[in-house]
Amino acid sequence: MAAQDEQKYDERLLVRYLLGALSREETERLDELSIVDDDFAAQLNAAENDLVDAYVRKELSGGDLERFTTSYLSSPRRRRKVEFAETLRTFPSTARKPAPETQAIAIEEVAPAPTPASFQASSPKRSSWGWGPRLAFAGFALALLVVAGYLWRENNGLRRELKDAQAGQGSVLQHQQQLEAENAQQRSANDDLRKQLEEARQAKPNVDQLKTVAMVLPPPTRGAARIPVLTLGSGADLAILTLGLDTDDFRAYHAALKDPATNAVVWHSATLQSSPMGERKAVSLSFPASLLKSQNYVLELTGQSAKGRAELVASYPFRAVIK
Amino acid sequence: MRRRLTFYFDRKNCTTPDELADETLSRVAQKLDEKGTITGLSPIHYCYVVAKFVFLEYLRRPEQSQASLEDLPGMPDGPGGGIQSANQEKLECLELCLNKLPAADRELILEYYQGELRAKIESRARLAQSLGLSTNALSIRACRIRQRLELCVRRCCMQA
Repeated sequence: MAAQDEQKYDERLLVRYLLGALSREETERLDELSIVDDDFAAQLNAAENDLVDAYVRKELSGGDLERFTTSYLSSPRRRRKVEFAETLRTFPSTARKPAPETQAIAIEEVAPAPTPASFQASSPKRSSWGWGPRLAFAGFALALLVVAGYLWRENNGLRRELKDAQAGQGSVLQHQQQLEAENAQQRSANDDLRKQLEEARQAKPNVDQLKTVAMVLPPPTRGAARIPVLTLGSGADLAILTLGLDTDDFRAYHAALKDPATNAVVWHSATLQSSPMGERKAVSLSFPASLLKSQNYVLELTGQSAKGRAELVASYPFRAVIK
Repeated sequence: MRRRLTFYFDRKNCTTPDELADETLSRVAQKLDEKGTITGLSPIHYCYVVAKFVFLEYLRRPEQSQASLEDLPGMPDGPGGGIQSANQEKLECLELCLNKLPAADRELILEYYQGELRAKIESRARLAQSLGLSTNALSIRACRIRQRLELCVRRCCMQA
């Protein structure tokens, strides 16, 4: 529930106030609020309605019930309130049910079913029964059958829905587990790659000999800016790119490597998570360096919202140069 | 304000809450007529202070007394038992009054007061969400509709 949705005053306090169960000082304080405070007055009104409804539904007990009957009901206005609550409580159920007289009339007006001659011949004792009781019994049995059939169908429908819901829940759980496993794998891969990158930096190898190349792409800025250049040796295996984020607004991310000339997707990442990069956050990804040619590329980073929708976060252009 | 004052005097078990509320408002109006403004307190706080005095004077009146339990007719014996059960006339009046409401209000009020205990709380939360309201806003709206209904049913029963 949102902050503004929470009730300002304790429900139990209001009930005790309405039942006259508070101290004199507290009662006077709430008396004043009931006149000067709009929120209190509204909440008190609602609490009174709920208290009265609880009484007519027989949900009150103990001290509350005793106080209700001895204190609350001492006013004609409050007694009228209880009467109205009783009427309101019974209204929906009586409105749905047909009047009993109509059912009886329907049964009496049904023409008597023809009795087969063989039945009449073989059971002479039954002829002592009048048609009225027979028809009433038949009508009652038929009504029972109809109701039983309806309930059986409803029951089956509900069972089916329950099974579907459970199956759906199962597949959602499965999917969630799958995503979590992928996520864990990606994190582990990223950690390994970072270590490799660190080692590579320290070793300061020749670009031609470097099997893994890495680059940090800062958040794109407006206006003309130099496109970052990723230089790779021809034998490079892996390209690691770290995409800086202005804000970390999503639970998960996906990246797509695109050829800007054709807008074709060259490579697509698995689910990615953000990680700290200094004071900011960044998303790291890696892909086979063999995918790259000496040309411009753009990495499109999309964020996955809580509702599962993909929203474009930023596009990171860079130029690959293969030596 | 008049309604709040009436409820205040009613909670104090005064036999004439409407008159006392009117008395309070008359005095506040008189003060405004004489002085042109209320100083030292906000108008609404001043109403409360006057209401307190009116109540204290009411208590001191020898001819008026708070209603004693024995004097009041039709005191209930227990939950739903002693209280006059909803008879057909009231139900018909309620149906009539419900039909006078806009359809949305009618559905809201019937759905708001459905269910019991935990189910009622959950149902109200769902209803609030479906209407795009906070639960507090829904509660206020339901109370207002209920008040209108109560008044309508009372008038209908009196005419019947």
